[in-house]
Amino acid sequence: MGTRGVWPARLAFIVVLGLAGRSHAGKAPDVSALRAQLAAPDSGTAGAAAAALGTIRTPAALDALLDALALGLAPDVAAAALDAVARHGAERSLPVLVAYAHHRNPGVRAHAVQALGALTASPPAGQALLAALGDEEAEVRGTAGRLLAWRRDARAVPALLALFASGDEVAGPPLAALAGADEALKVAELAGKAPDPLVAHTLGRMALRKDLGPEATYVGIVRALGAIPGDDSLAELRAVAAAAGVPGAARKEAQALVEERAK
Amino acid sequence: MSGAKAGRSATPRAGANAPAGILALVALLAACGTASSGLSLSAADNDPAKLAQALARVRSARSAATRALAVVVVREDKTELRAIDLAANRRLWSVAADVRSRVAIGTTLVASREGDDLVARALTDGHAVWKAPLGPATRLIGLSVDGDKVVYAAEAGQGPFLAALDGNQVRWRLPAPGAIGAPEADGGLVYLPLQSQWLAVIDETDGQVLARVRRNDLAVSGVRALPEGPTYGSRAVLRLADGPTATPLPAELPEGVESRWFLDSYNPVHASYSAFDRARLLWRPAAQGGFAGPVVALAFRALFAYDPATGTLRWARAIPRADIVSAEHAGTTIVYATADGQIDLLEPESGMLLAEASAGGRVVGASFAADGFRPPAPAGPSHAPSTDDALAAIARDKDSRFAAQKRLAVRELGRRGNLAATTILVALLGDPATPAELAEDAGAALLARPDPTVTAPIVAALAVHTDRVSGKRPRGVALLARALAAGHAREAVGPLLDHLEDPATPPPVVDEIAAALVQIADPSALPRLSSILLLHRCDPDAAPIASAMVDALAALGGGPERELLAFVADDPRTTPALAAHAREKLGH
Repeated sequence: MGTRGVWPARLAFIVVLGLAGRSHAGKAPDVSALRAQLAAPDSGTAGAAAAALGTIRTPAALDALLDALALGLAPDVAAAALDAVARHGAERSLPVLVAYAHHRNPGVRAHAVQALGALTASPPAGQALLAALGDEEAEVRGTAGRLLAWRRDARAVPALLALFASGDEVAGPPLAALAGADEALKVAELAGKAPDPLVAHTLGRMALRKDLGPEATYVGIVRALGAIPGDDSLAELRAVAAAAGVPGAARKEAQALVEERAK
Repeated sequence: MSGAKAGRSATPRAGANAPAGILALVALLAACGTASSGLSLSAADNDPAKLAQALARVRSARSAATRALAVVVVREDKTELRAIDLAANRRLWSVAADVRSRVAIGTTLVASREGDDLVARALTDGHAVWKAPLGPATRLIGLSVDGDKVVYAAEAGQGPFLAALDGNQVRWRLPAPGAIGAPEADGGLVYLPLQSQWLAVIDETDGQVLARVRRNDLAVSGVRALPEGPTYGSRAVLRLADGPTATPLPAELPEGVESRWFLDSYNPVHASYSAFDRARLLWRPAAQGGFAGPVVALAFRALFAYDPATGTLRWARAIPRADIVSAEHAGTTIVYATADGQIDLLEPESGMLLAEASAGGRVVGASFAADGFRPPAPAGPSHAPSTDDALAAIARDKDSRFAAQKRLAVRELGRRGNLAATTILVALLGDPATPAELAEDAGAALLARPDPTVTAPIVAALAVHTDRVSGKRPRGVALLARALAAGHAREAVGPLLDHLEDPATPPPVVDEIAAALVQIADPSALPRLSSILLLHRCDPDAAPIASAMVDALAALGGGPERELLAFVADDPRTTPALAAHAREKLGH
């Protein structure tokens, strides 16, 4: 909770009330116009202005977005503004994004988390993404998981494993992408505990990776897949058997299991 | 049966002028070995002189030698009666016995109902000294032994009666005109609760009713004959020596402690050991005045000792293994037996464990003869339990039967208000296993004695937030917030704001936190309150949150915050309801 909410809302408030043009004097006039439009009560107008400001990679455009967010926007406009901020990828947007990552509206939170993912070089943003894995809303967790997988942030693996073990479907894809050989086998051990389709799809995705280490790991994953009843695991076995990149022994094992199921 | 002799002297209302029919009935009763009914409802009541004369006849029949004896009913594959020497933790004897009543301990024998007989067994080795048939149709109400004289109350076809035995021979038998309770015999007198309103004092020798006390203000449901003197009552304790209009012994017990001073001796359940033995008060009267030492509330697996003058908890003890099935305040000790066969003797003033013994099996009930016995305090570290730890153990007992004593323990923790107690209450509040009602009590207990010096565990509890990964969920945040507000805990402002900013915090809890922050009145909260308001002011779904922030800022803020509220009120993007609320707060 260290950085949560500790941002200059009151300053932003005063800035916008009295000094709205202070840092934008002499900037491109379209930014000023868009700033004004962003403050429109009509969400369509405000949302379009936000999107436009995202395409203008200037400090003034980002200021306009951050000021508007600091003063508060309707949820749909806030989502658009957060997407626009993400396009800037600027570290100084971090406090506002962290604050919005705790907004009451789950959709708004997901957009804030998405924008945090754009701050690729920011450790606090990475921490915020890890924290978002604990969010109650699947949409937020899924966004955080996807971004952490994209960032190849292995710190997320224990949390993803915990979510996976509790049957959280959004944990499957990022876990499949981030897990090492040891974690892959832990996922295999969760067969029968976590939902079968979730385990099957996650193991299937893992088996298609090329960086899981020794062939024995792949064979172990395939065997775990074979032990899972149902069509989901069969489909994954077929995919593994047909995948050229999978080590030979694992493919053969998958093929054998597919044929056994056909009997 | 013999007893005609006793019948001769117990006919106070059978005079020379009595109608022939009544005389015939008296003669018939006498022929049956009974005394005529000195328990008649028309006899004189509340004669102080008669009562004093009766009590003056008390013989000091008690043995000078101090005993420490438990006689337990053990039920494994079969039922056995066992005598345990508490001083030596030694089984004296064990005999198979179909015990169907409480056990009364005399000087040299022990008596109980076994099957359809009253059986007296030798205390030396448990052999049956005599048997007196009761018959299957006779319901035993209660029995008592004075020296080795057995007195019992029962109900048969002709109605209830009181009888005294010499060995297995009826010495006298007194029919009762209505319900009678279990008798107590001591010092040559028998005390008998009658019709819930009277206590009859009867000569143990011949069954003659010597005096009667009638109470219109208090039910007479039980009587105890103690070395300090006989006492009786129901929801209060009356000393018989104080006369027919005695005032109750003063006792202040906290809410939640049931005033079970006596077992309801009319209730047939009490003829044998029952669940009522597991939840009652243990006490001794002082020779004069009120009670001697603390009054101990027994509640299954818990003991709470209260100062009867103030109602303050002196000590508490948790019995984790099994229910206490029988207990007695023996003056110098509190002695109890648990269902799993443990027998403990505690020091009444401190709750310190003085001695232990074992019944060697599952106990369904026990009687004790340990008056005056005081084992030496064990050497080494104190065996007195930590009251805080005991209360915590009672409150955390997983057994769902014990809701009442858990609530009592939680309230006592609140009254203590020290750091240890506060830590325990906070842990209870945050434990998902704590029943909701008990958690509420824990929260209320935290508020009982708000102390700024013991807020650290409450603040620490606020570190728990909803986390899908760990599965953690904060509990009782609203109650914690109230407690912190009552203690004006400025160190809690940050953690409280963290919960305000947590989207998982429900709106009612947000209201409580906002109110707490106002009460704490630390202006350092204002920037974050402002941020929360601004972030949510345009979201209709977050209106309760934003509204709570408006309230808090209006109450806590100054000029800049009023400026902020004016902006929120005037900006067209603010949800209309929130704008109206802000205007209202600004007095527009």
